[in-house]
Amino acid sequence: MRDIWKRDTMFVEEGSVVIVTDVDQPALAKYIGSIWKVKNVMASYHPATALIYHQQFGEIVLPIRCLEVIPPEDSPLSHDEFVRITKGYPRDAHHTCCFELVKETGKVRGFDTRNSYYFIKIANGNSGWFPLHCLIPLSFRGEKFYYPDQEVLLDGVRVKISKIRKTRFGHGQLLYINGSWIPSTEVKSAS
Amino acid sequence: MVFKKIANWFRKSESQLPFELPIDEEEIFKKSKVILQQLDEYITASELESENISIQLDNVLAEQDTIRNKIKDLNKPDSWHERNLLLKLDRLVVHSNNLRQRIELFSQNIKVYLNLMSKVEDIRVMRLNGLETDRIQNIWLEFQHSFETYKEKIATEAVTETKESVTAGETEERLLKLRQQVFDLPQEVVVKQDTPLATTSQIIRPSLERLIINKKLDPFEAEDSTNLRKDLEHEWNSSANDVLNRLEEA
Repeated sequence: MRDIWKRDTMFVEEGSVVIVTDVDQPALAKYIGSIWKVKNVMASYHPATALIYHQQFGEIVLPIRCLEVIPPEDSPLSHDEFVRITKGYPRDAHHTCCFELVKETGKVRGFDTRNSYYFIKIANGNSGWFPLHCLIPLSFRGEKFYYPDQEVLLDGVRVKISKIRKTRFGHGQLLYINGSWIPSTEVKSAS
Repeated sequence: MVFKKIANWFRKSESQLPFELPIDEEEIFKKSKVILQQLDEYITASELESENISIQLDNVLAEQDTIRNKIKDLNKPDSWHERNLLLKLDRLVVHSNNLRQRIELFSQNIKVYLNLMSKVEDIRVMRLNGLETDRIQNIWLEFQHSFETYKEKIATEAVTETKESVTAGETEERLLKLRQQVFDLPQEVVVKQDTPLATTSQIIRPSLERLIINKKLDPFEAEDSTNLRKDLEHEWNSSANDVLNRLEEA
């Protein structure tokens, strides 16, 4: 199997967009902070390594522990964004909840494409994986934050949110309901 | 949901904000958080919608090119196949024009929302700095003036907008133009015929039998059929001479 997870619980697969956060050779230090695309994963190597590609710099090989997966563009949370962990969750197939981190504030430092969990790292160095419904972005300035799969009232009808999206200036959010993006101010909480 | 979408387009095309704007700057300051959230959401939603439409427009334009090439390859003037392709091309041109117009409307709406957001934030900041309310009021009035101008402009555009004609004559002209464009032919000036073609329908007389039947249908005049026939024969013969004279003149 080519696609495999390594580096504690970080999952990297072919096609993932990653950011270089550390290097194993001083010559590669200039690439720290740049964004690359994973071309291949060598899981059997020690340490597990990925071949990454950049349009300008070409290809390099780096250990997976030096990489952080960036959430996709349509994700409601972006890389390095401050979030508050609001609650925990029951054990997941891939991750276990770290209840010590609940009510803490941290940064998004990774993304798991298998189940859309976010890797949160807090200031004291602790880290853990959390799904979106356990997090709230600190930059959100709206009245109420809605989550995917949440039921809301739209024109008096109970509907389910499929996806959510950040707005341009972070004042609110858009909800994908029945095939169209609806402003969150047009719906009411069903609970 | 589709109806809601269509309603939204109409609402946007009339350049009305989807919520009521407060008139007083005091009220704006109080509701600024909600107003900013609403505006931000409408901006993002309009951007997304506009993006989707532009993708759709690209597809329609690509389809137009394909049909143009098909018409060129077919090269069968006056065939039903070519006519059908031209009709399809005509429909696609109308569709693409509509999409273009909608993208422009969305763009104008986004500009208005952005301007409004900036003004609301200005008011917020000025209130926090403890500036004079007159100055803040001026900003608001300035925006309202520009917004009214924008509304008038959109309303004028809506009035002057010409709808695509669906009459057979207009369609033929459009198809002819499309064909000329496809084959890069020189544009022929289509002369409209104001006067109708000369017809003989007014000169042709009704038959004698038809005249008798029509007369018999009238109960007050159908008393004596023999006299009636004689009268009608005389009338018919005189009209025949009249018709012959008119034909000679023509």
